[in-house]
Amino acid sequence: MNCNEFRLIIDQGQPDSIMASMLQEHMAECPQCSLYYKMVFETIENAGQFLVLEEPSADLAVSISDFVFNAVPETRVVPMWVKITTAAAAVVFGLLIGSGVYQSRSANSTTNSNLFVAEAPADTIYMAETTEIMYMSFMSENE
Amino acid sequence: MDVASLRKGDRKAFQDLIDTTHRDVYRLAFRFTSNADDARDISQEVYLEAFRNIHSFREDANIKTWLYRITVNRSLNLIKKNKSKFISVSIDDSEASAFQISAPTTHEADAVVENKELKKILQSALNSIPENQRTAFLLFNHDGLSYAEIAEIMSLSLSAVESLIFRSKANLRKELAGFYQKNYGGAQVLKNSAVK
Repeated sequence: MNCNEFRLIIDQGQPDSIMASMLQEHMAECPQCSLYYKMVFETIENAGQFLVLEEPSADLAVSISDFVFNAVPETRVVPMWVKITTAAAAVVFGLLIGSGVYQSRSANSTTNSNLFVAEAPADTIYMAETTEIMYMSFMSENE
Repeated sequence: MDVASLRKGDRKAFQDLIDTTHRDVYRLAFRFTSNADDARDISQEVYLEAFRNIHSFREDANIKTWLYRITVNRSLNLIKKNKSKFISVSIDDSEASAFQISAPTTHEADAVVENKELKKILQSALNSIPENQRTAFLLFNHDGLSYAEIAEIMSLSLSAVESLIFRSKANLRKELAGFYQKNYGGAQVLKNSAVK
């Protein structure tokens, strides 16, 4: 094997076992081809050991945690008992207003008080409806 | 790794993930950027992105592969944004004058080129090959990643990865052969070959 043949095999990249022993023989007597092999073949095939590998500083994990957890503030988890109590309060409040509306309607129908017919019931009904909507949306959000 | 807890946004589980994987993420980022500050910044951004999107992580997937994918994307984005900083430098421009490697004359010649120098030569050669080939090659030489894992990280088929790695090696050989030729002189090799 001469140097040109040697380099041709190296350039092709994948010498088989027979070729490999011939390459070794040639390298034993040719320092230039030995260097060529090291530089062109070995460096690439064993790139893992030649590529620059740097270890991170000891505080990297802490700095990553700080960076991540400061950027994303922790969301407060509302306890279940608070949710239930709030929902119950909303129900009671709604019932109170609803019964008030019922009573005022009953009073209007029996005592011929035309004063309340146009204004008072409308406001109260609106409040009752609003409360009901708030309650329903609260319940759906917390499902 | 408790993926279910991670997906729920459990901070302790995420802290465990950082503790167990940050070294590999940093090293990979460093492989791409060759800069400690950039690698550190990328590592932080990788985990922030991961934390924000952890709910979209599939439980059957490999979380390390997922982190590597984010790392590669972040690294390539940084390189694209700072092209002037990461601009490709040919081996001949950057290394030949710095090394002053003398042509080997003895059988111990292969000791002439130190590993430190080979690292620089290889790094420069890597900068001169196409980005996707470089990415595949760097992943192939990182943390014992398999072709399948590289395919997942790069969102490519297995055969595409094999082809990229094959071509990257061929191009690197070409670059390094060119460097050798320029610094040791092809004429001398031809002369020797005529004798043998």
